[in-house]
Amino acid sequence: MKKKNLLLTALALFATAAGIVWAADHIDAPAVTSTTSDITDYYAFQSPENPENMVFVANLQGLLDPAATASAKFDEQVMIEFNIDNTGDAVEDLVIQAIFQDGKILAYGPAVPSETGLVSRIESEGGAVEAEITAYNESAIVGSGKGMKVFAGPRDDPFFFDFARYSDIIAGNAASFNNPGSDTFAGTNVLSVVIEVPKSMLGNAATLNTWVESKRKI
Amino acid sequence: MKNTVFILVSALIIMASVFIAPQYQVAQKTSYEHYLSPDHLRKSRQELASRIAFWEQKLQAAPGNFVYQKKLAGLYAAGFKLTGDITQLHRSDSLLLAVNARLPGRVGVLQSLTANAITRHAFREAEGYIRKACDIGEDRFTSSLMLADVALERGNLLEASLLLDGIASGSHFDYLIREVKLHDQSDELDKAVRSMEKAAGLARASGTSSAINWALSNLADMYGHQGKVKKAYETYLQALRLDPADLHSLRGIAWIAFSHDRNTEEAKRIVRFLQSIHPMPDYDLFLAEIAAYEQDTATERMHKEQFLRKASAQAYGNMYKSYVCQLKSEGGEAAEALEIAAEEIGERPHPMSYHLLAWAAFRHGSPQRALDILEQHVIGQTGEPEALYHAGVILKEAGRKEAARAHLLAAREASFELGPVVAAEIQGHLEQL
Amino acid sequence: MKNSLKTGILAFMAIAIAFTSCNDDDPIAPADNSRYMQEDQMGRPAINTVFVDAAEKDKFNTTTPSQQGPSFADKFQSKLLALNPGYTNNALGLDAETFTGILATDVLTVSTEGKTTFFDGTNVLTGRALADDVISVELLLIFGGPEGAANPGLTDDNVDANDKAFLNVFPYLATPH
Repeated sequence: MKKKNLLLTALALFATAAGIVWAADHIDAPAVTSTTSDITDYYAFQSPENPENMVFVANLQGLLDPAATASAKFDEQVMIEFNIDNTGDAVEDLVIQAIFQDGKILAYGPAVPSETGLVSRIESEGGAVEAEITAYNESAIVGSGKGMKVFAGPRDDPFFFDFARYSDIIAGNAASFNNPGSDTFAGTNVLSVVIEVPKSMLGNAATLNTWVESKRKI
Repeated sequence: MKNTVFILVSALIIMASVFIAPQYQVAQKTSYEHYLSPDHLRKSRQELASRIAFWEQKLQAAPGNFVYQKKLAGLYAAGFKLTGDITQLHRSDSLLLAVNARLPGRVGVLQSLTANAITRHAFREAEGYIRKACDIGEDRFTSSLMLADVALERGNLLEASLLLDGIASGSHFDYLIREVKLHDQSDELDKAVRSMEKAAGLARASGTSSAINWALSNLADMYGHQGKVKKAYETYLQALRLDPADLHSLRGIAWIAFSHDRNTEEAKRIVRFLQSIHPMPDYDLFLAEIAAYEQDTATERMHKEQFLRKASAQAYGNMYKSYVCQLKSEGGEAAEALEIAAEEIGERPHPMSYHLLAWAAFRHGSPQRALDILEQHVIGQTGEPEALYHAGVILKEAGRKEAARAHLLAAREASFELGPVVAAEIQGHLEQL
Repeated sequence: MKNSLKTGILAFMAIAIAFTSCNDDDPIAPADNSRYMQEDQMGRPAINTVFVDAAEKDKFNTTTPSQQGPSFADKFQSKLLALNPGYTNNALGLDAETFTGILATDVLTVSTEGKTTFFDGTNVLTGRALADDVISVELLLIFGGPEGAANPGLTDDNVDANDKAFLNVFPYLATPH
């Protein structure tokens, strides 16, 4: 009898112990990382400091709040390429390329691309103008060389737009803009690449067609 | 009688394993003690709280601004993962649903709704959102990845494989980690590990520390599945160096302390620390498992009851159904387990869900039905160790000795992953064959 | 035993080596010969947002500008007429076909000889400066009709300037918040 009781206890024990398999679950996939190549905005203007120079600005990874700005990083697998067409056919004749490595931005060009279109190689022949990537709350670090200036780091998003109201209008939820409107991008930051180049490096055309591309290393 | 012998043999094996110390201890307190501090998580939480406050303030000033609502939804979903507070996930969902109602058809919103539904293990709901996103067409790359996630969860390996073929890109971290899942589910662990190593390398090349941390902590799990415990441990430590608040890696180290080192005191200390800063039901299950190993029935039962109580809360929805199902199967509530398994199959018609149903049927005294389910939906369709183990037991009882042995031997390969209690049971079953 | 110390350590060393060599593939200079594949592009502000349907956005972002016109001009025109069914001409005197024909090739034209501005009342599309109220210009051209007086509730979002002053010196953009 005693023996049987012992066995029953053992049975009860195993009835609860058996078979519960607990192992660490695979965690859900993280939020997408491919947004590091999203271009939020593009500017091209004559340098306010020197009318002989042109300034190109590409902004990435928009809507960064201050805390997110501190940890935002340029993707070292992504190239930012400013494209310049000085013959009027919307095909790039010159490119200025920026890549990011070990805390630095490296800017190549303006150079005639060895290949136009969707795929690029780094046009490194003329060497790079470098700058340390400016950290959040650090004053702007400017790299220079070849008459060019280079900056990379977080900045206030210069764009202003009542984007939320616009979206409501398009969706049929509102009939008109508010007055005053509300700047959706106020108070937020972006990661910026700013490159200033002598106009003389961009050819002789009176008007350029320009655009910016982000490209990922394959 | 057969059962009694089995129980005695298993008990002896467990007792023996308690007293026979492993050859060496992998987990060394000095290397991870630094991470057993609430400060790391507190810092991450404070940062998240400040971000949430920033966007809440903006939303208050511009009520109904969908940009801010969507931002907040992402932060609250992250908040759930960081704090274990399920209400944050619900807050995230309600913000996204509000945006989706007012501005229907925004792909980013549908993708976020999908991610949340996957976290809630609401896979049918997730599929609905992400199919809509795919139909709209913007950002097809991400939508295809997420549809593949859902397909994999729902056991549709072929669809996942076709989807991933259509967007294959070795230069995207987001793609590579789906390739990992596909290999893993196709029972090709070595290939899965190679893809994850590639993903980790790519994350390093990108300089994205959150992605590197994620890849390493998952890679460490996979090394463990390969039985490479030392390598798993070192990889968890690498992940923790990048993110000292990485609870997943700490849990992995606790599992090593338990499953490999048999250092239950240390494992309990780590798990209790995790439990104290991250109130998720999971840890009770871990502690129950340790108690089972220590043959402390009262503590084991206490933790299982606590787990069931916490995990059954309405707020968790479907998240813990598979564990609840297993517990009910073991705890003499097999009828209820059968119902849960059937629900789980509706949500996730994956071989792993059918294996739950088979096990519940088996425990409910329907060995033939269990066998039928196994043969139709499980055997040859998944290499997950727990399915192999349960299948082995069912086959053994059906007198299918050879098949039982094959399954149990395969499960035994994953002894580290399954833990010492189950490993001893497997051994017990094998010795009876 | 599968997880012997020796294989564990060897395997760990192997991955350490794999990671190191990964870093060695990325020397700081000279740059390697890797190829880079396009993921996103932009010319004029918000054109993609306004004129490209969700189903076409991926394609638009990876169509070179010289090909955008042929592929997208018709779609841009339909979109313009959907946004503003009453469109006849805009303040630049462009009918729907001409206007969208220009926009569909999404490049920013920049003058090398004078003022660079999106629109300042005199100069049109000679660049894009930081302070330019580009959205209101575009809204006016889409909704404002030939005199700029049509649909007054839609021609200005009433956000006319950035929330932070720009710098007079490089890099010109304001410091982050």
